[in-house]
Amino acid sequence: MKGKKLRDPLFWIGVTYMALLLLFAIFGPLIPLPDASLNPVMDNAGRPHLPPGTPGALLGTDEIGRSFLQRLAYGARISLFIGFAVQTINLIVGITVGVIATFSKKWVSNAVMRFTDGMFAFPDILFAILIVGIVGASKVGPLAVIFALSISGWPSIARLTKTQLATLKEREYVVAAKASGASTAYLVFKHLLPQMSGIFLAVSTVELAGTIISESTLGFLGIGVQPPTPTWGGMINSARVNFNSYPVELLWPCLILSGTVFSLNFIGDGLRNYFDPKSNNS
Amino acid sequence: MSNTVLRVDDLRVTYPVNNGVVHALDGVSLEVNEGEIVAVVGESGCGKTTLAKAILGLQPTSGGHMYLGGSEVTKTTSDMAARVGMVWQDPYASLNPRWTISRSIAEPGDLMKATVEIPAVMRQVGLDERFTDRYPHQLSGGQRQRVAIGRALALRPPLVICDEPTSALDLSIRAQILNLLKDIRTELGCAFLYISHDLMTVRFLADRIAVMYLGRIVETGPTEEIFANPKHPYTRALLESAPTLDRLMHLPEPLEGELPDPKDIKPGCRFADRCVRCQEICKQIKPEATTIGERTFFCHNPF
Repeated sequence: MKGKKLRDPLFWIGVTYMALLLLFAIFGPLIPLPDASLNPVMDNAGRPHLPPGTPGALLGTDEIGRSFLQRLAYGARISLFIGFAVQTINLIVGITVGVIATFSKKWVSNAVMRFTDGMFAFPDILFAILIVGIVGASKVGPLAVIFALSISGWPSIARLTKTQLATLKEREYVVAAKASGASTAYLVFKHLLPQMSGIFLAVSTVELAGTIISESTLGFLGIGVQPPTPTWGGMINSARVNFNSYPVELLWPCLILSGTVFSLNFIGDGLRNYFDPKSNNS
Repeated sequence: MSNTVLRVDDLRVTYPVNNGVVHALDGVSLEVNEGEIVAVVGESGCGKTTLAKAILGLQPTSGGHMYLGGSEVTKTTSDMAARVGMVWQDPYASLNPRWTISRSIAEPGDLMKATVEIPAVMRQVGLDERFTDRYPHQLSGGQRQRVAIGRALALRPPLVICDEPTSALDLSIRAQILNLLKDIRTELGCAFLYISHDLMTVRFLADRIAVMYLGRIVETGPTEEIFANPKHPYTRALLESAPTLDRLMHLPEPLEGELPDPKDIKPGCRFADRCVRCQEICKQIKPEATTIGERTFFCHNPF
């Protein structure tokens, strides 16, 4: 693995795109507005449907005069924040469950894994709709969306952890450490999890793309983070309404969303090939 | 008895399987004395590795006793860890690929809250000090096995178990590793339990041999006596199956018969189905130990 280089150009395209997107999410909302009526968040009824290229609203404005560029930046903040939060929760919960299932008694392990399989069977959107039903659509904020998407996200990580551990814990250096008196916690933290970090990184990157799609889907359906907070999904939905009169409105959020998903998949594929001992691109 | 490092007494290991029980170790008794190299030989699946794992506490036993340095060993692994070192079969798998050499060698010490003098250990196993901060993938197979041996010696245990330590190595490296093991025995006086199916290395290294067949020891004795005059028909068949220079061009007759189903325990000798000297009694009654001098064998009709 060491000495192997990541030469895959798609990987680097993805990394570049995501780096730019991160900068855009952090600094985009700080771009000064020449005119308060372009404010991307306020329901301010300024100058609707300005064409792209207008100073202060480079990508144009929506039907109530809010600048698309800044709205996309806010949407990027929401998408990335929710995406990273969900993946972090998935990793913590999934790894914990996988480790418990691997090292506990057989009936505990079976119970845990059957529960995981059960959770795996639910489509994430269905869960999200359920959560929204409980919370109430008008009160949905980032935390509710994170909760909804994490509930269905961790089982795949738990399964991955379990299958990986099943082979890794039989490796001779792990058995050797055990024979030298190592505790299970020592084996997990010193030998097993570090060995899996690459796979986790690759899988989480690809799943991050899925989470961002789900978050946008919820926004599109109107059950994600609620307006006036801009989300990519919400922007696509309002663009759908105005499509006949102002088609360019649909272009921006779709471009940035598909670019993000493509990039994350490129990065994930690159990482997977890099960490996969069977791939041979040294 | 004071100089007995390891005594295994009637050790039993059983695995439950779908429709019965497999007796992986069926009453194995063995002694290893101070500074002695004892080899356990036998074909694949005879229980050699199970024996090593049971001694290390990695394999739960269902009967028998183990004594290490005179005191009985209970099943806690940490009890064994400081007193038994282990060299594994595959030096490519027995070292964490992400750890430096020194970290791997120091691990037994870290686990036992003892300090390991890494430079001294590395000198002992013939590793240059410049390897300290290298990773396993930067080392050759022989060098890795030296690291693995160093790791086993780190706590200066009175007993080191080697599970086919040379089978994953090139022939040219094998001799080096075997010589290293002999040197270590001379310098440190530690005993070795050497598990192998390779009779040539066993003959070179071992003081005594224990021949195993299907979870039982069939014959033990001093190496040269066993090679010169095997008593048990299985030992003879095993020795004859090893190619030597004068027999190079005609391969030995393979053993007749199938390995018996280990679930299906017959009352008599376990080797009866394949034995050329099998008699009616062999199929009925389990042979008892016969001891002549330093040799012990379990056979009704020995050579």
